[in-house]
Amino acid sequence: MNNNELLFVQFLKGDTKSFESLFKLFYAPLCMYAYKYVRDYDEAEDLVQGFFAKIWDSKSSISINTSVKNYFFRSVQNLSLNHIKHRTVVDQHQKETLRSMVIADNEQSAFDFVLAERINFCIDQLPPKRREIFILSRQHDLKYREIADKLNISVKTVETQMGLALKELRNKLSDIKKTLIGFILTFSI
Amino acid sequence: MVSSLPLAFKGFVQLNCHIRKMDTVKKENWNIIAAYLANEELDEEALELIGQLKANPDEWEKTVAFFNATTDAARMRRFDADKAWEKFQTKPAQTAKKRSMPLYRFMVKYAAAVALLLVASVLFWYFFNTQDSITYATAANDFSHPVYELGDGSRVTLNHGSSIELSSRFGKKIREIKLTGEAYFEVAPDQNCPFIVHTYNAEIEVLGTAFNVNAYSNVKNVEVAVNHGKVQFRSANNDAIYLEKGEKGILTHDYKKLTKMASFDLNELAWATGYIEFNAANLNEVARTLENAFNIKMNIDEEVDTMLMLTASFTRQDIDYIFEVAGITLDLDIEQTNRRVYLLKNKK
Repeated sequence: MNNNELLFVQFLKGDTKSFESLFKLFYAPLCMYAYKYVRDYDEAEDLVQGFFAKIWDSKSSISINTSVKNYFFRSVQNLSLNHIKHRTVVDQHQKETLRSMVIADNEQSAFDFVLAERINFCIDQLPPKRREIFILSRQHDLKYREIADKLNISVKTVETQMGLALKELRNKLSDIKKTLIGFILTFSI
Repeated sequence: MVSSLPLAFKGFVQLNCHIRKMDTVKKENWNIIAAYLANEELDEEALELIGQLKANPDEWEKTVAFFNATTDAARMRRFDADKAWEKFQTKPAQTAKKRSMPLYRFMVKYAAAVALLLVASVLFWYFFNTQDSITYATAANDFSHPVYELGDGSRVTLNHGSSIELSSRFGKKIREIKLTGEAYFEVAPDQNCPFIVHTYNAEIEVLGTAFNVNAYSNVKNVEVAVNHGKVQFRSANNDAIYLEKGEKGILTHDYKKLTKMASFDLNELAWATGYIEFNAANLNEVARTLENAFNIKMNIDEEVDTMLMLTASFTRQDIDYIFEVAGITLDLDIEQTNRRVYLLKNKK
């Protein structure tokens, strides 16, 4: 039994601290996963809050026959799909993307949040200015022009810094890959 | 030549080659790839390069997947698990409330047992029937300020690291609560059923009011601040004072002195009421009020002029909103330097 399973068992016995740990560990990844379906940050958070409220309320009757991680991601996937189905307007394009996503997910595992956390670790190590530019572009979805205006720099600089950031992340991640091969085998969330 | 190397070493050579191969993308190419995948406009030359890269679909797919993974990772940072947990914690409190309701459902209102009340002394603290009592508590680091409804229409807001215990007889003839820490009470009026709060060394009796009791331990002062209505504040050696709206009573920790102050700063109750009013308050006062209301720490950069004045009022606004208003009004930047720690500084 790995750590998640242990926490889950303790939670089912009524331990709030274990539940808090699971919540904090999985909250952001589950939100990100829900976001991939619902395409709205607030709705994604509401769905995940709802999911945790549900398992909190029904802790006396839950039994799972898969890993905690699988159970969490699968539940949030179902909630997200239901949520979209009940939207009044769903354009054809979105339906198509959805279908392909469900297929892709069934083949691979859920959203790779171990990788995401590793990338975030590397993002935090970028030089401050480069990091800021990268975050504004990737996290806040700003256009290069908007970033340039906001930081009072040229679009060319944004372009260069973004290129450097990606290159650096790429290098750091392959370094990590080298050292982490053994680590990943034992550390599977 | 290679075949004569030990097997393990051969493996290492291959792994190394593989990693080097991943890095075939030139430095300036990354600029163009990033811009292309971020949906920026590109010139002819750049588009041509993208065309060339796409000619190697395996490699291109990997590059796109890598780029998308960084985007997902960055977006995941939007979700703040700690904040979400604080928000979530109010929900278990609601379920607890539901469960406690039946106890009061058949509550019968008898005439006030005045005699009992007079006899009730501080000793009550030690004889409190803990067997069937109901306890609500917050952890020292729980700043969610949960609100509990007591079944008689009264509400209690708990500050961090505090607990209240309702006696098993709560609401029958008398409403008695034991408090450690700080709580804000909004008491539903009921002439026939006195509401009494017991702390280590004092008790506060009310008949329908909203007031705050700060009694974290027996080595600190007990402070009672009345928002509206009237309360009686009694000390262990049976001194008593009446406190009315806007007044505050302080019992020193040696139990000796019970004093009344004619006024207090309503912002002291902001943690529970959510109401904050600044009337030409200087920066130090603003910082102290916000620290108290939101359980945060505020540092002021030395270069900032602390004589800047703020006049504004807020009703149940979150800290981000207040910072935004204060920042714009005073032309200051407010930066979060740590969890719960903020720095006020001049705009660059």
